[in-house]
Amino acid sequence: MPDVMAEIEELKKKLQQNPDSLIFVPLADAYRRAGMLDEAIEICKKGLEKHQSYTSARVVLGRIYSEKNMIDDAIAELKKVEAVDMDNIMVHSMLGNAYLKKKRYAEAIEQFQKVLSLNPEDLDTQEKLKEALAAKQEPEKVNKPSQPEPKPQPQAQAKVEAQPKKEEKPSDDIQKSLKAAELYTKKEDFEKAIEIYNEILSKDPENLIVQQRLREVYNFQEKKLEKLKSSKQKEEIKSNDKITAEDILDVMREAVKEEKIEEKIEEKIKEKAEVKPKEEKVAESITFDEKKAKEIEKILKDLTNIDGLVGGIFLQKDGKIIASFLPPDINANEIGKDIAKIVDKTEMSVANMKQGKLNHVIIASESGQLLFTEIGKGVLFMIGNEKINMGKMSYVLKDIVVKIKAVTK
Amino acid sequence: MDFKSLLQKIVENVDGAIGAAVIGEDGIAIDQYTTRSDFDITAAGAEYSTIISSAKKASQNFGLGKTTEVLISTEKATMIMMMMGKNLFVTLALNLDGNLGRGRLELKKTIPELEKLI
Repeated sequence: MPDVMAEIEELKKKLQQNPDSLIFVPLADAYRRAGMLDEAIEICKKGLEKHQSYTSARVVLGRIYSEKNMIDDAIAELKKVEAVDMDNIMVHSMLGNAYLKKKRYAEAIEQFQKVLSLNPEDLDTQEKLKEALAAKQEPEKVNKPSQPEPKPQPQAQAKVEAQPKKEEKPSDDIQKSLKAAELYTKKEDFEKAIEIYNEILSKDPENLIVQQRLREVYNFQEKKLEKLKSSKQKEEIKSNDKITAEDILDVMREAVKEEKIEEKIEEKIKEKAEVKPKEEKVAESITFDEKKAKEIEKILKDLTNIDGLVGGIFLQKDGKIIASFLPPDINANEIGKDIAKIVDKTEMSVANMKQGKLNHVIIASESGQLLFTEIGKGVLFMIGNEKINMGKMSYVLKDIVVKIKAVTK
Repeated sequence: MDFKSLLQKIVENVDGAIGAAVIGEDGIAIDQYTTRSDFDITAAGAEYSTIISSAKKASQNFGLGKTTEVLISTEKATMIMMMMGKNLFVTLALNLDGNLGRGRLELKKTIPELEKLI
């Protein structure tokens, strides 16, 4: 405790010297560790008045509320973080625990599943998910009105006794069906997955795991439909943008009558330009002709000659792919948005810390490396396997940046 | 040795090191040591912790397994973040002319000692 008190004093001094700094977060946390929860809440709230978008402060406030057993307040605070940072594993975990305390099991299950989607090996969360699933099932069983048992006929009674007891573990058939449904989900054949889950539920309507998975598949399906819808809309706008031969012929037919060909074509171009404000906004962020894109693709392809590098993508900051060269099992269009998201997050953090421009980021993992860097208005993303290390990755980067810059000039 | 002494040792052993901290993935610092009053290592760690979860997700999407390390290089400094224990990471901030290789080596060497304190 004396250590924490000394830390509090030191942090208080720093905050007094620079009241606008972000030091209020470690100070609030130090108060929390010292058990001074009211002070911790007060300092956090004050800080958040100045730094409303500082999510780490909201996480700390959520944790303090949880410790003070102000669970509703904790949930409210953490939901604010979740709204802007959907991949925050800690927030999902804390929300799961908070919902569990409130006995809001469905929401707890949802949060624990989010944690496990980000980190499937989290044993604690696996346990908590089981606990939440069991707890959700329990009250349902308890609350069911007990029906009077029909008086069994002697023969019927024998039949009832002969029936196997309901297994706790799913039967082999169900396991096989679940696996098949998972495979269909992975392949994005949601209709078939839904069909299988519904079939299982028709036999076992209380199967919570299947209920949950079915909900997930519906979500995936909805997202896919939205994605398709938006890309279809873009396509429609695009096709509407183009001055087609048919357009020109229309104009010419009309103009021949009136002998005003040029004026009419101009009019048609203007008319088309007016319908495409959205598309123009995207296009103005970066423009690459096909030739340049091909040149970049070649540079990315050459990358794979370096031992350990498996591919690369050059994309706009909004996730639109300009050029890519990737192993066949990786779909550039599917990962573009994810890359854009992490680049955006990193840039925001670097800007918040007033660290100037972002040079590059390397993510090292058990069996490979990912690297991204900004080049002009685009982002270069490189993927390496276990044969390449951070040093070589940075070394290669310098060369690639020069080459791509030369093309994008 | 406590956290602070171990962190101090890392900073002192690496040329150009500004500070080091042990931080939770929720962005909250467990302990820290800095040599420069104008660089708030705990705030930087908290800020960059948000990137860790995205990095983990990206690694998984590419089938690269668990994320072990994240390096962020900016115009003003370089931050190395190495995962340790469960939901924790140790971070080291370096000047632009800092010895990055040495920094990574010191972190790797010290992580088992830091883990013993958890």
